[in-house]
Amino acid sequence: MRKRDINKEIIIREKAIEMIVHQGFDGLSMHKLAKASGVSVATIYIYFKDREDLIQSLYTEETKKMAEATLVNFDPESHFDIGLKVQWRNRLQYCLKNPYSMTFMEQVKHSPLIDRSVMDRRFLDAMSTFVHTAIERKELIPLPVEIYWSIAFAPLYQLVKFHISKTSMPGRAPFVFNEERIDQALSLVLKALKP
Amino acid sequence: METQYQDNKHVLVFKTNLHFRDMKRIEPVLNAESMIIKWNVDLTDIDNVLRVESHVPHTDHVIAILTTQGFHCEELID
Repeated sequence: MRKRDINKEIIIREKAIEMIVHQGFDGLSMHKLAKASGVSVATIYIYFKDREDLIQSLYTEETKKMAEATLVNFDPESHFDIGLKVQWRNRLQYCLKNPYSMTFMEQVKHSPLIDRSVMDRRFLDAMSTFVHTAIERKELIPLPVEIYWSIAFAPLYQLVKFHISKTSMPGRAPFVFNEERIDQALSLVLKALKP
Repeated sequence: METQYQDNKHVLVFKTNLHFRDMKRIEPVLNAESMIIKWNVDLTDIDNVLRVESHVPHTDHVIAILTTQGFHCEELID
């Protein structure tokens, strides 16, 4: 008789994300995952009901970690410029520390396998308060949420992708996302979102 | 493989040759078993794993049920 071993579960999760990032969802089999994690196939099924349950659970857990990281020192009532800067820093730190997680979350967005409707309530509330307060104070223009998100965060994630993958536009040296470039990109984003 | 949680629930894991078309047949049989709390078959992976949550660690009984129905079923050992 054994109890759940949290360390085993953590390793299985890490290896599963790595496997999906390198080989896609179809590349993830319980056999390969067991081998990579140094556990038996049977052990994986102790923690996860089936392959779909595993993938869904990875998404839920990574979303939670990302949400927690984004909210560190973030005050939803702060001035829009300051709040967005804190979020950029937090999101950037998280992506740099968890590059596999970031790529995995991107893959998930395009996959029908995963139910993305469940999101951390605290995170959604903080984001909503932040945006609505900023609009009320005339620090931000009202926009459909997809347009707001694309302008506020998509530039950040694209630059992070360049940085992590050590790539750039064709024919250019690898892009390095440093302090100066963060400020440069963020100031343009803020300019675009100002009333 | 059989593992007990603190709440006295056993997870039993078997390799089978069950396919989607067999679900209708085994569903009433497994649902009727009082020792089984929950069960599912992972049809997306190659071992077609039958996962059973049970009050008791009676793996032989589960194997017998599936074998009687004409299916292959072996316990996956840790």
